[in-house]
Formats: sequence, C-alpha cells, structure tokens
Amino acid sequence: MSSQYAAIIPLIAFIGYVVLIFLTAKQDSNKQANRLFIWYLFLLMMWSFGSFMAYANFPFMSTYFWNTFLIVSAFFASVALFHFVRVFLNKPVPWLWISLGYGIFILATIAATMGYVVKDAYHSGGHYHLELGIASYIMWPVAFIFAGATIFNLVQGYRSEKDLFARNRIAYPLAGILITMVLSLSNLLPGWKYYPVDQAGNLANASLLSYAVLRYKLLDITVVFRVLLRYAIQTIILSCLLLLVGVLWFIAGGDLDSVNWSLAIFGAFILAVAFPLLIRLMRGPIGGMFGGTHSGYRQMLRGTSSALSSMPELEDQAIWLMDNLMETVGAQRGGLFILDEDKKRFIPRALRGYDSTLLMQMYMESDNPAVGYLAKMNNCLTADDLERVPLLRAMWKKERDQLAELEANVLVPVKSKERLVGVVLLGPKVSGKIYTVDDLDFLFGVANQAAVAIENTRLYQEAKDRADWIDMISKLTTVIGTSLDMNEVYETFTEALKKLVAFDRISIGLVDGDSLRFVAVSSWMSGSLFR
Amino acid sequence: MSTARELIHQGKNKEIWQKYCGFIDFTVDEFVETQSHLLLEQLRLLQDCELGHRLLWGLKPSSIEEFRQKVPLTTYEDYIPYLTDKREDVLPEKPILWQRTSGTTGKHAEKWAPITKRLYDEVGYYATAMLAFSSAQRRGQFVIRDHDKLLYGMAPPPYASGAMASLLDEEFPFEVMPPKAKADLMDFPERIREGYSLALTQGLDLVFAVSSILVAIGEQFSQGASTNYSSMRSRPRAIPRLAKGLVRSRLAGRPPLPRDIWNLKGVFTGGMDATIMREKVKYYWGRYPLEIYGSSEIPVIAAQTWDYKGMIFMPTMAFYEFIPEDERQRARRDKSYRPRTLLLNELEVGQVYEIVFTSLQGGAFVRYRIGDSLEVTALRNEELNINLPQLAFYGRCDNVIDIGGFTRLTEKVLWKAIENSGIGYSGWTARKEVNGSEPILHMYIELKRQNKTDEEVTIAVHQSLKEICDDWAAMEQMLGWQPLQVTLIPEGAIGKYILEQMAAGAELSTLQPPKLNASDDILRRLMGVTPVA
Repeated sequence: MSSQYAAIIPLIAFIGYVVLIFLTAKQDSNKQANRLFIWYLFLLMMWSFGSFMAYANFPFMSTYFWNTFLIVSAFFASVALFHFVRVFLNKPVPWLWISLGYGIFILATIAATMGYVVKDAYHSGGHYHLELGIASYIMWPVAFIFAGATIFNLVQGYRSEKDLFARNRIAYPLAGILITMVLSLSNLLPGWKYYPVDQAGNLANASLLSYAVLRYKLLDITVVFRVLLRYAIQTIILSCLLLLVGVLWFIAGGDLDSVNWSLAIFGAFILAVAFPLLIRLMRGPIGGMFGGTHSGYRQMLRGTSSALSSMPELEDQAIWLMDNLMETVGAQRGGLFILDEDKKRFIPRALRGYDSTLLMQMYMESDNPAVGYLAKMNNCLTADDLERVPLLRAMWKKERDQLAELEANVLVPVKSKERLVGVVLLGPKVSGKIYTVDDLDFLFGVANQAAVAIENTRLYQEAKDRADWIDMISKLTTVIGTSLDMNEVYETFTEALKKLVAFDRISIGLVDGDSLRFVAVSSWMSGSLFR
Repeated sequence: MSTARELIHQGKNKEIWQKYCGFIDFTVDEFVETQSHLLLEQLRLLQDCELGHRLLWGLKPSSIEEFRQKVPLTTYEDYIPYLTDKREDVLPEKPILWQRTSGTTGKHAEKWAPITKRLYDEVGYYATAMLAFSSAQRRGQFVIRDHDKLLYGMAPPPYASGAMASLLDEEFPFEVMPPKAKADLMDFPERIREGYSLALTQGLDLVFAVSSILVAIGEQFSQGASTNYSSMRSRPRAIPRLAKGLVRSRLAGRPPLPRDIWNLKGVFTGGMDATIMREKVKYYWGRYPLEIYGSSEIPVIAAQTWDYKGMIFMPTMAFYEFIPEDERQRARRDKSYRPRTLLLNELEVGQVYEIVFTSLQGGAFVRYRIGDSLEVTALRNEELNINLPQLAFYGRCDNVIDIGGFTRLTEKVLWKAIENSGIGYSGWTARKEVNGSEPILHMYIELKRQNKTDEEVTIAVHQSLKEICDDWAAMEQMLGWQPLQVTLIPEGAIGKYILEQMAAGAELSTLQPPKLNASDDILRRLMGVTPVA
C-alpha cells in the first residue's frame, strides 16, 4: 500500500472535525461543555491534519515534524476528552489530575522538540517509515490512563441513565472513543505503525460523534444546525468517495504528485458546493425507497395540508389526522382536542385507541397551565416536561389525573396564526420506546400544517351554524306570523328546534296567571312525532 | 417521574435545577398567575367541606377578585373548633400529618395545622431547591452529591422543622446525622451532641440548624472544646480531621473553628436570629446561612437564594396577600374595618406588609393572618437576575414596642442593636415600662464574662440603636429623649431559667425567656428575686 493514498483517511477525518467545530461554535460557544468539546475536536483535527501531512509527503514538508505534531496532539486530546466528559456528565472537574495531565504533555512537547517522541520518520520507495522515541513509550500509557478514566466515567454515566435517549447520547461517543483507543494501539505495534490505522479510528470517532450530534443532540444543537450538519456530512462523504476514486486513478497512472492532490481536492470541493442540487434530485419519488420512517414523515408532512383541505367536516379531519399521525409515529392511542370558542375549552374531536367512552367527556380548559404553555411556546410538551417545567406546577390535581388517564406522553400544539386552536395528545408508542427529537419535530410540523385547514373548517362550520340559526328564526317568524293553525305553529317550532337540540320529548306551555297551561306535548318515537 | 434522589444519583444537575429551582425564573405576573390558578382549585375544594363553608361564609367566589373582596380575613381563633381536636372530616383534603406550634391564642397553648400529602410533597420539592441554593456558587451550579452528610439541628416532629427532617431523609440519598430512627428517641440537646460527634468522625457537608445553636457550637470550638486531648482520645477516628483543623487554625493564628475542620457545602437555617447571626455563622462555619421563612401552617413560605440576601416566595404552597402597614394600623384602631390587601405584583420597595395567606394543595387556611410582617427590600434581584420581589422578615405584628408613638421597635431591631454594640452577651429580654409618666424601653441583658456597668451598656446600646433606627436617633435629636434603661441580669440566670423550664417539662419554644414583653414573673426569675409568698 502506497503511503500517499493512505493520506485520504486522515483528510476525511480532518474535514469532518472542521465541520463539527464550525457547527458547535455556531451553536453556543459560551457554554463550558461546548467550549471543551470544541477544544477536544480541535486537537483531534490537529491530529488528523498532522497525519494527513505526514502521509501525503508534500515536497518541502518534514515528515518528521508532522509526525511529532500528530502524536503530541493525540496526547493532549486524551486529557481534553477527559475534561469534556466530566463537564458533559455534570461531574466535578478534578483540576489536579487535569493540570497534571496537561503538565505531563507539556513536558512531552518539550521532549518532542528534543527528538525523544519521534526518533525518525521518512518516506522511502513509496513507503512510510516511523521510529518512535523513548518519550512516546512513556507518554502513551499516560494518554491511555486518561482515555481509560474517560471510558469509566462514560460507562458509569450510561449505567446510571434510565432514559434510552440519554443513554444513546453517551453510547455513541463511548463507542467512538473505544474504537479510537483500540486502533491507536497500532502505533505501538511493529509493522502496523506505518499505516494510518489510528486515523481510521479517528474517522470512525468523527462519524459517531456526528451521528450523536444529529440524532441524540449530544450538545443540544438546534434543528437548523443539525440539518446543516446532516447536509455537510452527506456532502463530505460523497466528495471523499469521489476524491478516493480520483486519487486511485492518479495512483494507477503513477501521477500522484502534489499538483494532482490539489486537483483532486479542488474537484471534491466543487462537488460539495454542487451537492445540494444532487440532494434535491435524489428527493424524488425514489427517495422514499431508502428513507424508512423518515420517508413516512416526509410524505405525511407533504400530504397533510392537501388531504385535510379536501375534507369538509371537522370530525373527518380529526380522525384522518389522528389515524395518520398515530400510524406514522407508532402511537398506541391519541386524540385531537379542538377549541370551542364559546365554552373556552378544548373538546375531543377524535379519541383513538381508548376503551372507555367516559374519556370522550373529558376536555381541557383554556386556562389549564399545560394549554397555556402550548399557546405560549413553539414546541411539544412531553410527559417529562409535565414534571419538569415549573410553570406547569400550577396544574390542578384533576388536570394532572386527566392527562394521566389519557396516558399522555406528548402534547402537540396546533396553531394557526400563532393562536392555539387545538391540541394533539399522543399516548405511549406501541414499541414502548420514547418519542425522539425527530418524532417531536415531525409532530409539531404536521400539527401546524393541519392547523390552517382545521381552523378554516371550524370557522366555516361556525358560520354555517350561525346561518342555519338565522334561517330557522326567520322560518319560525314567518310561520307564526302567517298561520292561524296553532298545531302547525307548534309542529314547525318543534321540527326546527329538533335540528338544534337533540330531544325525545317536548312540552309547550303558556303562562296563565300563576299556572302553566300545556298546549302541546310531543314525543319522538321510532322516528315519528306523536302528539 | 424521576425523584430528586434519582436525579442526584444520576448526576443530572441541570435537570434538578430546572425542575426544582426553575420557579426563580418566573416573572412576577407568572408567579401570581400560577397562584391564582391553584387558588381556583382550592376554592372548589373549600366549597365542598364544612370548614371551607364556614370560612367562606357560604360564598362561592368564582374569581380571585371576588374572593379577595368578599371573603373575610381569619386568625387561628376561627380554626380552633376544628383544628384543636384534629377533625379530619371537616377539611378540604385529608391530612397525612398534623404539625404543632406553640400558640398564644386564648387558653390553647398549642396550635395544630394539618398537612396534606400534596403540601408535604411540595415541601419536599422546595427543600430540594433550598439545598441547591445553599450550595450554589452561581445559577445552576451546585454541589450536592449522593451520601452527603447532613447535621440536623432543628426541632423534632411534630414541629414544622421536624417534618422537614423526615422529608430530607425521604427525598435524598443523604446521611442525616444522627439517623432519623435514632434521633427520634433522643431529646434535643442529646441529638445535637450525637450529630456533632458523628460529624467529627464521619465528616460533614451540610448543616440545617437554628443559627444560635450554630453560633454556640462555634463558640465552644473556639474555646477548644473539641480539640483538647480528652476529646481526641474518646474519638480516635476524629483525630485526622481535628489535626487538620488545628493546623489550619494555627496557620491563621486564631483558635480552631468549625470551618477549619469541615468544608461545608451549605448551611441553612430558619428563625429570626438567622439575619442577626449571619456574620457569626459565616465566621465560625465558613458560609452564610440560607434563611428560610415558614410556619407550622405552611412549612416553607419563602427562602433566600444563593446570594443570601432577599427571600423569595414559593409559588405553589399558598396564595399570598399583603396588608399595607397603614391599612393594618387602621384596622387595628377600627375593629370593623376590613383592610385592603395587595398581591405580589403590587408591592412597593421599602414598605412593610403583613402577610396573609390561603393554603393551596388542599390545605386548611383561608386568608389567614399569621401575624408576621415582611419588608420588601427590592422588586427584583439585579445581581442574580431574578424578577421576583425580594423580602426580609420584619417582625411579629403583635410583638412591637411602641415608644410614645414615635418609634416602633421590633425584636429584630433590638437584637441587631445589641449585636452591633459589641457587647458580649448570653441573652436578653426587653419590654416597655413607664418611668414616672414617661414610657421607656427597658432592656434586661445578661453579659458574658464582661465587667461592665448598667450605664456603660445603656450608652453602647443607645448608640447602636441610633445607628440602625432613624426614628430613635430623631427622638434624641428633636425631643432630647433618651428613653432607654438597661438592667444587667446576673450571669448564668438565663441558663438557669432554661434548666428550670426543662425540668418543668416546658415545650421547646418556651425554654428561653421571651425576647419581648416578658411577664413580671419571668423577670423576677431572671433577676433572681424570690417571689414574695
């Protein structure tokens, strides 16, 4: 294996770290955990960059220098990682050990300048040679002690977590560190140290950290940046694949020199810029074939608005929305509560998956703190939030019991023009898993798409009911004013009233002095009116 | 739902802070909204029970405004027929425990207050918040850990602070010293001794005790009570800790103090002496005490945050109303007058208000006048960015010495004056007396190993009073009055009084002589005068 094309592995890792640093810094570099994460990523980036330079063997560049550089960066990264993990897990920072670690590696840097870390490093006959100095053999165990302590802390954190989501947030970085650590051992093995095996570990670490950031909000990176990161990683992967093809092509032709390296990198850069267009092309009908759950999310997001707009009845809309939402996210049960303006409460229009009909009589008052919170904030409320958000401590016992009876795991605001018009309530998932951040983003998106259609239908029905009412009053006035047959007047009145209020019997009485004289009694039996 | 115990165990400090301390981020309107919503729930509960029906006078207020306008204020007298006999059938919600406090109402020497499960849970919730505040360096950063050791030096159950001990024991993976099961079998002094002894051998992280006890322990330390040879011999496991303390104190060139032996994460305390003793507590223990304001009726009403300055209210314990001082005075003169109340978002800086509260979470009290006055020190805490009014305990409404209508002195002011005068004292009491035709403030002070005359102490206390009380200073400046007389109590008299009270089986709160308006009999006992047969 020619050492030069091995340089592509650290190069990919390097680019990955640059993107991660950029996005983390954009998020909030004032948080201590974020700052330490950036510092750790920076050292890993330096490690990868040093490795790339060492393997690429550009003219006028000292392989010896870059080797020393990469090893010293790796040493410092082990302490930085330990520090970051302690802060990330909210544990006290052992300043003594951290200072000691940095102190030792500052000594290692001084030893490196004197040639005790790397004895010799050079390229010969297309192969890379490396001879480590005595200080390396002393410092690597120190770095491994810090890495070991980091792993211990992460395992401890993992075991103390009960929340699956939080566990995964720890599991991925843990896996990344383990892989990096194991593959770094190759630097101590004769025959292996000439190849960038450690950089393969570094690459795996970058990938796992990116995944943890994207999927499990390792550092609470907002949705926008997660989307950006997702695109960036897709771009990098594609670019690197093409870069690899290009480099292999140059190697086959025996033309891999610094000019061709530059050409290959430039080509990859152009591809990265053009990649969003490719993504759009790939988002066609075939996209769904590879998308899995997320494809279902996208299809529902696309179709909600148009599907609901074609339904004239609020009940139909509610049932369609709940059935589709529950199926897509895999919820066992759920319901849609829609605002009743007159009563100032949210009434269930579709409760799916519940056995008791009594639950249909439940409603949420507008002044319920959970409803107030949903009206104010632009995010979903989870069962955890119900316990954690201080404003929700104002909830009545009855309000809490009601949500508990409905097994509410998530409450989603349905907002039209910033006004809360409904609440989607979802129970536990069929799988028993918790709702992920993606689930919540999706639910929020769909609910807001549905809001406009639901609000329009609600307003339409309200207007229609009002028109029916006016029409009925007008009819009654006409009958009372024109007919001399009292039976006809009573019958018309009863018929009209029946349309507004469901009743079995009706009595019409006239006030006669101190008493009430009944002039008509009707009852509905088997669909016909008896007098 | 994760409990504080689980969250602490998992090291989820951020979640703990948000869940338990997040209420400090309320705006004052959010605070009132939260209370108002819970009050509507409480009103429904009250309408369905006998006590509620009686206290609401059969009214069914549907809004907060109607409630405040129509429902009369109450005092403990209104509850005596129901609470003294612990009648659970008349209450809005069944209590899980009854708390006791010393009473002054008529013939009832003790007051009982029911605590519901929900109120009890809320106390646990705020106890967690206070633990976090007491050990916080800045917002969100506190250092409470699993198995931290807590010395508990408050009154035992059924006093309100005793319930707090049980809650702490239930809520957290702490080691309460002495362990609750053992502590329940001990009397108060014995518990303190045992807890202190355990702390010497096992270490100490947190202290919850009355400030005067903390100061007393500190003073004993500085006199070498725990670092002498016999003490070390009886507790060999304490030797390393004591030795460390000795080295530290020698390096600092002063007698050993508790702060040399233990690095405390937090000290929290209740009672009026917390403000007065705070500097001494800091000197002896290395940290300011976190002051908590509560009562038997509502165990936690307000507490300081991590700057140890103004207290903030706990929003879900009770619905708070405040009677302005002029309204209170008017109601005092005219018994038929119903004073106007304000809500938290209507308070003004520098004003003194009497607090009125209505229990939430199924509690029993409605527009209840507990008899305490609070002073608004600020409308928000600029330093900590807390948008809630900051309050300080001002004094008991009924425990004020009024001198010629010119100046009104509370227990707190007098205590502060003695403290600031630089006189070493063991205890004191004060009351208004008439000398000839003029009213005077007569203070009885027991000095601690000091050889001073009555006149010298009078001058020192008078000067100190002038510095802290403008009205007192103005009285001398404008009228030439100096209505202060100090009489020194024989040394050891207060200690003897306490022993006598203990022997007579007096309850904890009456062991010490009252600070204000002590009876002639008490003064005779203190002065060592044998009553005439």
